[in-house]
Amino acid sequence: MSVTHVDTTPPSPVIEITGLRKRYRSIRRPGTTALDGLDMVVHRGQIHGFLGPNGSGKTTTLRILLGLAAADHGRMRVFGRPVPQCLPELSDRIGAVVESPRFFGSFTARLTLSLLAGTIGLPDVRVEEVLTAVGLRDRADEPVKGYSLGMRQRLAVASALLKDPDLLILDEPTNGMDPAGIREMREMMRGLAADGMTLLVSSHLLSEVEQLCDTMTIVSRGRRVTHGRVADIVAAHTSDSVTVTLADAAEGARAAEVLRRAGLAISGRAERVEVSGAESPAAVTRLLSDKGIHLSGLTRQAADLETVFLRLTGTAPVDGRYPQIDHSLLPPAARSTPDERELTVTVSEGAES
Amino acid sequence: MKLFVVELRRFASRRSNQVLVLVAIGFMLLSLSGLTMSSHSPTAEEVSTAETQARESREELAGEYDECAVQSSDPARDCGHLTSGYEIDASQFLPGVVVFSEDAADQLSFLFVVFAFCGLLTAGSFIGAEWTSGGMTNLLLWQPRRGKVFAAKTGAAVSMVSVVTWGYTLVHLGALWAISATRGLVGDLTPTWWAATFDLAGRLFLVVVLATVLGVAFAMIGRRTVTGIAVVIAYLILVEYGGQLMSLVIGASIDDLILSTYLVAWINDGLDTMRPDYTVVETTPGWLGGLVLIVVTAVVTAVAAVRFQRQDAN
Ligand SMILES: Nc1ncnc2c1ncn2[C@@H]1O[C@H](COP(=O)(O)OP(=O)(O)OP(=O)(O)O)[C@@H](O)[C@H]1O
Ligand SMILES: [Mg+2]
Repeated sequence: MSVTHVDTTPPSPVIEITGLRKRYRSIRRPGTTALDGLDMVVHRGQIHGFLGPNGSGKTTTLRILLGLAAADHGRMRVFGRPVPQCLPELSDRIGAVVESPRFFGSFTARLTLSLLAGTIGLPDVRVEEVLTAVGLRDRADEPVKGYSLGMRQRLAVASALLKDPDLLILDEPTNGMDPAGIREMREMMRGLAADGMTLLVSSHLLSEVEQLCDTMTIVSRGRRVTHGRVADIVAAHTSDSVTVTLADAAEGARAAEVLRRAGLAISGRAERVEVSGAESPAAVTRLLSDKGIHLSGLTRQAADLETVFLRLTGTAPVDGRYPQIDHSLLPPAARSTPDERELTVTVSEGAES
Repeated sequence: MKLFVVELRRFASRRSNQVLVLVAIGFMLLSLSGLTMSSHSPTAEEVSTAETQARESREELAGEYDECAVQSSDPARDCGHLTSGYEIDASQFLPGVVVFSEDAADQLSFLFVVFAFCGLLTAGSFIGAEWTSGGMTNLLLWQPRRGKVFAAKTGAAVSMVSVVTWGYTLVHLGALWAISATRGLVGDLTPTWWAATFDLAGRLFLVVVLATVLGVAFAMIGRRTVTGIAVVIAYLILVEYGGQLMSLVIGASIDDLILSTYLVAWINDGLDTMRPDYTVVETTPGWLGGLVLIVVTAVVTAVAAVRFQRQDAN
């Protein structure tokens, strides 16, 4: 990758979004608030995961960042330059796939890419390179309407790679891809990041995110829930949650009551209760033994990203039911310092509901 | 410029446009072979009969004009419709003979009117399909300057439609000339004839260009292929037809308010609105017709450009 520009020190983040707001207005229905003061920072060379429940505003954020939609409020900078004002100068350095890949059906993949390449005068050999990179070379002369979902997705990724960008923005890039494709994508993204490209990837495949991303931002209902290193966020939640096994299964209901009164979030039933929000496992033991409830076991839950995600976004099932769209957790609007405080706030809110 | 070339390629690569060109070529072959078979070189006898008939018609009309002029206080105004009779010549009395000087203008008008419709349709589908297929979104990621995108697409549509229109028309008229030269009459191609023909072609060509620009603009506003044609049909039904009905009811003319008046005025370089007794009520000059058409197109295009500039691209 050739980096043609000279950066001034200190290096500014590649993407910086503050207080982004967007409301989709409609004449017939009440409008939808898609973004409600979203913040996001992505640093150079990172693979940054962008996570959130359906309808939480991920695609909207990316569309606004790329100038496809206009924000109502907020400030955005890409490579330190204000966006969307500077997008025309920056667009050669940004490759993107937004939402489900859609192309003009009767054009072939090769023609589609060749037309895009032509808009900034890229040579057609570049088209061949990216077609090969995404594995479409042998089917590149077929009309796109005959492509499967995964093939379209590959074509979309190819179009994003065409410019050999410094920043690659991918909205659910592996959606519809087969296992080999997903793995290939993962390896490709790692390779690109190793070459110095910055990647912003929205995804619902949390195991992918866990394997691939350095940092992430989790959003819910148009606001940031948390952000930071993926490993740190998961670790923060590992200590937070313990599974308690009761000596007497009949005590389940009483134990649950005690823990709930203490303001802890619980789930599970009968003799196995999952507790989160406690200061330490010892606090849980003490609480229960004070009431004469004895434990036969207490294990610290090794949280995975999925558990953390469901909890942070409030999309974990309650009484066996999953919440409706837009009933995910609404993070507090204004906050000073991130991470730890956010986590505490989130957890105690979860405990109340 | 790069974008313009890309848009030209995109326009030319569209299957529907390629099919349309093939259909047009098929139509040309069919109509020309029809003309070839139905036409014949007139015999000397036919020519002399036609000349006699033409002379009689001219005299008859001249007589009518004189009669009219005697009765009228302003002959130019009241009897103007009778002066066209002086243009009658023998070629009009030769059925079954292709006479180039006579037929070229009709064919030219027919072709350009068809191409105006094709311009509206193909430009509309060129833009509409880009919106519905998501191609527009893709393109904006490569060229965020929407004004440039709009200009390149409009320019490409107009250029391609113009090239096809002129190419087709020249070949068609060339073939018509060849037919008239071998199996008909070429007629008198006087400097006046050439001037009138070029004038007509120029006027019709502006209509083709405006129709294409409108096709782009409507599809940009509605973001669909059918918007342009739907607006035109709705306009024809509601304003042109409904308006005429209304004018009968209220007893006032709405000719000043409908576009067809200005369109015809532009193409014919002036349109006289007449009472049933042929007295001229009002003349719409050709330039006014053209101006109205241009202003209407400019307004629709401006609305489209502003909407494209301001609204989210989906
Ligand atoms: N064009 C639009 N018009 C109206 N509302 C919209 C539009 N696009 C998105 N929204 C609304 O904005 C909210 C955020 O949508 P967005 O597509 O950004 O979610 P997302 O996080 O990408 O979801 P997903 O995970 O399902 O892709 C949703 O409530 C959605 O209904
Ligand atoms: Mg989305």
